[in-house]
Amino acid sequence: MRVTAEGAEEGSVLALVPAGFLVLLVLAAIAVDSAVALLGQRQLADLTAAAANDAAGAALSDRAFYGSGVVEVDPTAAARVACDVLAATGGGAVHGIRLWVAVAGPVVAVRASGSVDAVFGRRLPGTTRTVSAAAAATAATAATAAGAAGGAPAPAAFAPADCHI
Amino acid sequence: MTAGSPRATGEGGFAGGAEGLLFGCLLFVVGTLLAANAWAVVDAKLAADAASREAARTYVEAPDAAVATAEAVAAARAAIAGYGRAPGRSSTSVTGGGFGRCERITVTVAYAVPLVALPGIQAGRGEVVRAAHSEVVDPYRSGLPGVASCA
Repeated sequence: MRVTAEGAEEGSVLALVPAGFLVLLVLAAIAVDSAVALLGQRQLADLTAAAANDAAGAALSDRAFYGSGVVEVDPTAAARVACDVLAATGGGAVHGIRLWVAVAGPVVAVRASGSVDAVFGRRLPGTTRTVSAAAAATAATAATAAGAAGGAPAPAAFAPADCHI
Repeated sequence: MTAGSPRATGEGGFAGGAEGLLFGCLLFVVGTLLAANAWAVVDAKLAADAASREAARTYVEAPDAAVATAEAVAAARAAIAGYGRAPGRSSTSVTGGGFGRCERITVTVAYAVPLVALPGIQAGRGEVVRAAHSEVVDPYRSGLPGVASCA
């Protein structure tokens, strides 16, 4: 009985080799899927930064400036500019993107959220990750640009941008 | 060496172990190449994403239209090189309204990722990844003729 028990263990050690490789491959797949999620988050961050930056220039209110000399961002125009950025880039690896825009005087803030599908774990439930990003920009004249840092919009000020894309 | 001999059962697991080694090697080779190729694509997309962003920013900040596209392409190639990738495998295109106030431009960077052929899987021809970034030329910037019509 003692000799038989020793012989039965010879094969089980070798069977661990493919099992170990399989574990390594699963870990590699998780790493790749995490990198894809990071890529999507960075693309969303780029999108919000571009939207806020563009809105701080292209969505300035002429009425406020020429009427009272105040630099202000028009909320409606800011939402339109944000949607234009989304339409132009397509969102990259992120789908189902939703945008929120808030304006507080010369400050425009853009938030976005979307979903990123995994590459290897696409068939598994719960592998679609939700990513989000936010960016803000402040419009200023050349004379006031050095000290331009207006107050950020309140969280309740964010309104969804109806992009129809 | 009779039926009840301890030596007769000593090699019982060896056949299974050899198959395991073969299967393990195949799994290791194919799986490693698959993961490496997937990682190469993701890494190239990150590089293309950064390159398109830098190129778009460079374009809208360019001093004039004559050098805007050239500087944008140079910025994209520099970003690709900064990621340790070969700039020669990338191509940059600028589309949109051109270099003028309020004009929206979109820079698309494509990068041909060299892939290693996988045994039994048709994935060795390479993959072209693309990334796009869009920005508006500042309506109130200096150095441009005309008036801002978008704000």
